[in-house]
Amino acid sequence: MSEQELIDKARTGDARAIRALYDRHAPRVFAVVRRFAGDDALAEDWAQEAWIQAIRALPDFRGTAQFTTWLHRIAINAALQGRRWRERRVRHEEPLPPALPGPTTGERTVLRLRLERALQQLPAGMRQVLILHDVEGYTHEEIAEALGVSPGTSKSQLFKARAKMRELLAPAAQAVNGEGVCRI
Amino acid sequence: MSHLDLETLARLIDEPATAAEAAHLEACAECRSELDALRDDIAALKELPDLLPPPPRAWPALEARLRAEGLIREPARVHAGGARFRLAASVALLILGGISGFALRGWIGASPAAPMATVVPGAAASTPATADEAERALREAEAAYLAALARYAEFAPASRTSDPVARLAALEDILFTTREALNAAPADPIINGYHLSALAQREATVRQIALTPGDRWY
Repeated sequence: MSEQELIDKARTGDARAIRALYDRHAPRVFAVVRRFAGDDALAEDWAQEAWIQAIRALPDFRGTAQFTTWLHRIAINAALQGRRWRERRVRHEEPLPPALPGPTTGERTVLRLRLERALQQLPAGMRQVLILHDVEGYTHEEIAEALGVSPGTSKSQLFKARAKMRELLAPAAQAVNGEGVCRI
Repeated sequence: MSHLDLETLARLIDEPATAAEAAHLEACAECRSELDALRDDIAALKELPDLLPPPPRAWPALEARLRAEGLIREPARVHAGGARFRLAASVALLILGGISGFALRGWIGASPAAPMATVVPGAAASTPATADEAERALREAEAAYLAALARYAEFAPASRTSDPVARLAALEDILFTTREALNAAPADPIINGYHLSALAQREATVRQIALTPGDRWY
């Protein structure tokens, strides 16, 4: 069954079609929200919220964008909304979830894990902007609108986030940062 | 001469350098190198995998909510595969555990008086004397084990890997179990071995699913 047929059936509440759409796209939705959430439990909540919003909004999906793009956007919005609710509730930065211990193999896997861990160690505000800009490709204007800040703040947060991430990825970089002296 | 700070370098990923910054970069190999490293980091961020299977329990929870909100009208389908997946997960965990334990015993179980035969070339030639050496030995053993496992998977009969989604579900169950175990014993090398083995296999399976041509990725 084509995706359009699935969407048409899912609009009517067809359980099989909704399940089929979920099976196709759940890994992408979960990956998006997981990156914002920093831990699996929160990501599950936000992914569920994204799916609820998506199924609710399916009757309004006109097909002018690809379903994947549309759903991706909903997932990001659900993650941003989840983050706002959480911050409102907690009112302070919670300790970061501990990174999974132990090494892994394969250079690409190691690099991915290091990147994911570095992302998780960034303060929430920096992380949001970095993901939105450098992973998701949002412009500063779009980020500003989504987060309710100015484009200048978005830029400033992005540069701080990149610098912080670089420090986390390469502790040796701290030697270069600041008032070091060139050895040239 | 002062180096450009990291935030400035981070800005130069997107924006042109001022004359002074450009002059500094021209003269300073360290800052150029740091800027290149930053560019590499950002490029790697864009290539982070965008598929990450949610845990198996996510669908039942979502389905219940969709039904509660009236967004699904048909009765729930019974998925007979659940028990089979759980059984497969249990079996896979045992197999993974057995193989991991075998690979790791080269240094974990060896007594100083009678060192074990080397399972991994070069990894257990001598008993680790420090935590760092032990960790290095573990990494090497794990790398060799996973390489051997991947090689084995290449030769495994096609029927064993013909249903990657079932395999993924089983691996998810394993990861759920090992993650819980790691919460209780984060430094346990055996549990880490299980977890990392399953994690690597899950990644490989996700890649396999993602690369499957056709309309149905599963």
